Amino acid sequence: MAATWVAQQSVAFAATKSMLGLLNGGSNILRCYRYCIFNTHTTAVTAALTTMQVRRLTALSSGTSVTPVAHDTSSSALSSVTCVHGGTATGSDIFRRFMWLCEEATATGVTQANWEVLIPVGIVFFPTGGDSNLEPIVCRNTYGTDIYHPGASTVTTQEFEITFTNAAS
Amino acid sequence: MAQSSFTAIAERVDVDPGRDCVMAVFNDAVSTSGKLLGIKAVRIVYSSPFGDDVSSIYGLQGKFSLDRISAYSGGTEASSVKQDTGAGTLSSSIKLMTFPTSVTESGGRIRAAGDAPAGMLITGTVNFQSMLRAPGICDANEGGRCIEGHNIIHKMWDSDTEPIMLHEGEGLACIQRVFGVPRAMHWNILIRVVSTGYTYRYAIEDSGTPYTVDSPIWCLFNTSGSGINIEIYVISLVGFGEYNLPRFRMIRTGADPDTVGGETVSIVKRDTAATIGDVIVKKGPIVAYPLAGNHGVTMNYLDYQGTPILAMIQQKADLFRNFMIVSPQYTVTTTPSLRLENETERWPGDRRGAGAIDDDIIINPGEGFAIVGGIQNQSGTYPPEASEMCLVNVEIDCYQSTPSAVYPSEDDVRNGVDYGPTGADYDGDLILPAEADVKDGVFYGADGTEYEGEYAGGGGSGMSKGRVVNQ
Repeated sequence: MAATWVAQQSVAFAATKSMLGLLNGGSNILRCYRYCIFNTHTTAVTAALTTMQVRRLTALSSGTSVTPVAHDTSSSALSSVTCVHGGTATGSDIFRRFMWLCEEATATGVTQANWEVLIPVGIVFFPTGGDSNLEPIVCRNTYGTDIYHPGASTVTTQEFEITFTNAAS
Repeated sequence: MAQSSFTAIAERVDVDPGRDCVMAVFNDAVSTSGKLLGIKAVRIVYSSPFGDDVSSIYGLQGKFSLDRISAYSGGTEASSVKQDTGAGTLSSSIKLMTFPTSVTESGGRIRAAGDAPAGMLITGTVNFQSMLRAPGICDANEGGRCIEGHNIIHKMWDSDTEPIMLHEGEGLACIQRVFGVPRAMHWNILIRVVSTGYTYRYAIEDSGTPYTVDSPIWCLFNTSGSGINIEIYVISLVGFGEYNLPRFRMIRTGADPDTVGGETVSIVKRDTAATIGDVIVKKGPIVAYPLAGNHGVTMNYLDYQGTPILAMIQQKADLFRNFMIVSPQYTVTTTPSLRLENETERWPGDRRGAGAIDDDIIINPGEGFAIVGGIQNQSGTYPPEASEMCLVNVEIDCYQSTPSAVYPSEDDVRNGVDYGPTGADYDGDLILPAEADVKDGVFYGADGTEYEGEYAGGGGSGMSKGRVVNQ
């Protein structure tokens, strides 16, 4: 098994924003297995239905630093990995587009916002599907990935995750 | 003069199917001691703060996080269960603690998620959480294997990925970050010992939410020196129960405190110098049936048909008061220690002017006073059972009346007069003579003036003149 890390952050929605991004600046290889969004918004807002993307990046800078957490604390530290939210990102390929509802979840509601609370529903991109024939999103040197909000919503703060492995080859 | 007073407190209690009593206070005194319990007030509050939504008692969700920790203190330890009976007992150095007093976060957040309750409405539309967080409902297909809707963490099935590992000296805490709805929460945690491959399960039932925000609900810790590493495979937040606002009724019970089950809780005396004994307090869920005997009509499941039940009728029916926790009347913030209360009036004979009812609820020796969950609402639309989701704190203010009178000997009390602390404890057996048998002019009886003797001397006490002969 390769050393596994999770980049996790609460991020406020804003228009055309790289919600959570990762860029590999070193010689190791980052492989991204899970992209997640979980609705943890807890105050009433005027709902906004928006669109999201999972992208490959060729550049990522600025933003607010996010420190990935190791699944195993004995793993070697990450080297030359940039992880930020709200960063300045240059996207190249789009792996997935989907819609997402920016609204608070209520205890008795039946809207999509309530679906988005649940962990299985929040796994918005699962590149391999568990199939060994499929690759995860591979980020070699100078490449990265992000969960990107191309829409215009400015409401809610939700949880963003990218789970990835770090290996020499 | 004030009697010896105390409060019986039960925290984070709920009901279980068939065991719907959340708390009971028993008068364990013997009948001749004369000790009585008086019930002055009952308070039921939700066990933790609500979220900020004021529009609905079941408003917004809360939020919790799973964070790495390097230390913890306090809490109540939960036991693990082996998945394989052939496995060794899990090392005692692996600790799962509910409501630890504190944890030391070590800067690594694994996940944050909403805690929207998965309750169901018996008569209404269920929300998706209730469908998908119910046990056994599978949603996402992750790697050809199912991940159930109620999973918060599930080990990824990609062979190249690691589960979350806890080395010695490391732990994981579940911390409440924002309050939503206080309720019973049920957590299941599955871990694996790396060296042996054996797996162990923890089940935390009715854990509730903490009293203050940013406080831990539970933590799993691999204590230094354990010699093992553990992997976290699954963490589930299973929800069940129904949304109906919890309703309770108070009853006088004849249940035996030694056999009702539950936990014994200590009383909190108002005066530390007071001596209060022969009181047993049990925290539920327990079974407490209404007291046998003719106490009126049992109204446990009566359809009220929209008619309010008069307080006097409730008491006659051994159903003192039906009350419910009402919606918040004001915003509850996440500031610690703010709680909602629905306090009963002092019962009875209170400001409503019920007139003839002016006694406290008195619990005699051998009886108990119980708070029982579940009652049909006035319109009869809700079922009588209390929801499993409900989790409350209950406080009962009581006093114990201890007799201080010294009663005279029965030999000193007139025959046929019953007296004593209950009015029937002793039976006088002193017999006064009839007036005809007491010498005329002799007063006797109460205050020495109640009766006057009428017996005139001569009749049997001396000789007639004719019988006395001078010698």
